Amino acid sequence: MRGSKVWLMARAELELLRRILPVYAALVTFGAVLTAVGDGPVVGMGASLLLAAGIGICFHLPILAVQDAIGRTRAFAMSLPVLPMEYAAGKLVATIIACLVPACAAAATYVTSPSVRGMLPPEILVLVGFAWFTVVVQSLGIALISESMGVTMTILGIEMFVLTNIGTFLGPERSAELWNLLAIRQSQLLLAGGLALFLVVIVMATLRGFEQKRCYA
Amino acid sequence: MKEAVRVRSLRKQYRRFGLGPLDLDVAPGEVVAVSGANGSGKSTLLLCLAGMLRPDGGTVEISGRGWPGESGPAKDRVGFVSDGLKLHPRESLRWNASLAASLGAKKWDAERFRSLSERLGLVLDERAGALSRGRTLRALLALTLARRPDVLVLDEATAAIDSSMRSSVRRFLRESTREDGVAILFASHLDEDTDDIADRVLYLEGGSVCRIEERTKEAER
Repeated sequence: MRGSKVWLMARAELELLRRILPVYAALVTFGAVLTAVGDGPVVGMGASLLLAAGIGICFHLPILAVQDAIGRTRAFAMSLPVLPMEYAAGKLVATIIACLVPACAAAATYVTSPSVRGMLPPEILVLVGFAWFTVVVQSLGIALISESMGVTMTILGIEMFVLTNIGTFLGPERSAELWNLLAIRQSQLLLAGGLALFLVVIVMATLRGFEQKRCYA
Repeated sequence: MKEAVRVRSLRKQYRRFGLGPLDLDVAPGEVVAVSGANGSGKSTLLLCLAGMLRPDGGTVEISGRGWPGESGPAKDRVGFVSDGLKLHPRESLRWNASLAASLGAKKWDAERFRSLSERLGLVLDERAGALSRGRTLRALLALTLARRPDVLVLDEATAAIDSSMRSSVRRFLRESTREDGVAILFASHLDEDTDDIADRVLYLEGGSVCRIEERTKEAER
């Protein structure tokens, strides 16, 4: 795998995303500001806007990857001097950078707004962001390998259902226990390590899986 | 002289169809037409040569570098144009060209791309999604020839191009074989393409070569 080709593919991907990234960054910022300055229902509106933007990115990037395959623009890219692994790595690098845009917007709002800072400890916020990022990368990997909107959306839908209803599944007592557990530094590090390991496995599986595909036309 | 294309025991198996085992040598500057009925294996062969389809066995070498093993250098040396490729529709032709230019940086010839675009009647600021099939194919040909590949693989690349422009395209292809020694392998259902530029015609039937025909180019007659 040649690093220069990976970067060129990533740059091209980011250029293709240049119209939608500012929209997500604006949504996240607006949601964070509402959460920071509002009270009562306005805070809920802000939080739901943040959640919607996060879920939107989770769906949007994999949809673009599948569209790339179905719409034959991937075939055009693959007809150029780029190897399958370089193409897939370029997409992953672009996704990492693309996720940083709304993440930075959210982080900036968090740092500059005292009321938001009081709502969630920074460690938990980082863990939530990391988990979200892992889901985005994993969905992109599934989209790249399966080339199927149905498969990608089904897996993503199930994950969203489980993650957004985890409190209901666990019940109030266990949720409280989990919350207390997450407040402990050791648990946080363990969870972060687990997520990082999962992320590495996803990236390796995506690169290997894409390289093993039979046809890129 | 080193062969531009060297294929040994190439095999590709589908559920109801198998290509090969197939051996093929193509010299630099040679033009080989791949002919046969629908489903005879023309596209499968060309896709394997262009690195767009993973063969089940055998080796493919492009100017001495090949897959499996040296995929990167081999991919840098081969250009592929097909009716099945689509430029990024929301971007301009210039943007799509810049992608091809950056990935093929070492050999990209900007002057050649500009001149080919002019001769093929392409407007670089036009949105790629607004281009017809024929103009898309012309753009893809210009992009690929500007990369100065050692081997050019064309799968039905002239089918949607109008007849007057098609003769211009064949002229460019002939120029490329003469000036750069580009070896060309192409599949086309148009006899005029085969008659005009092919040095050799490879007839495929059921995934195997059933006949090879040497041709004298019209220009040399």
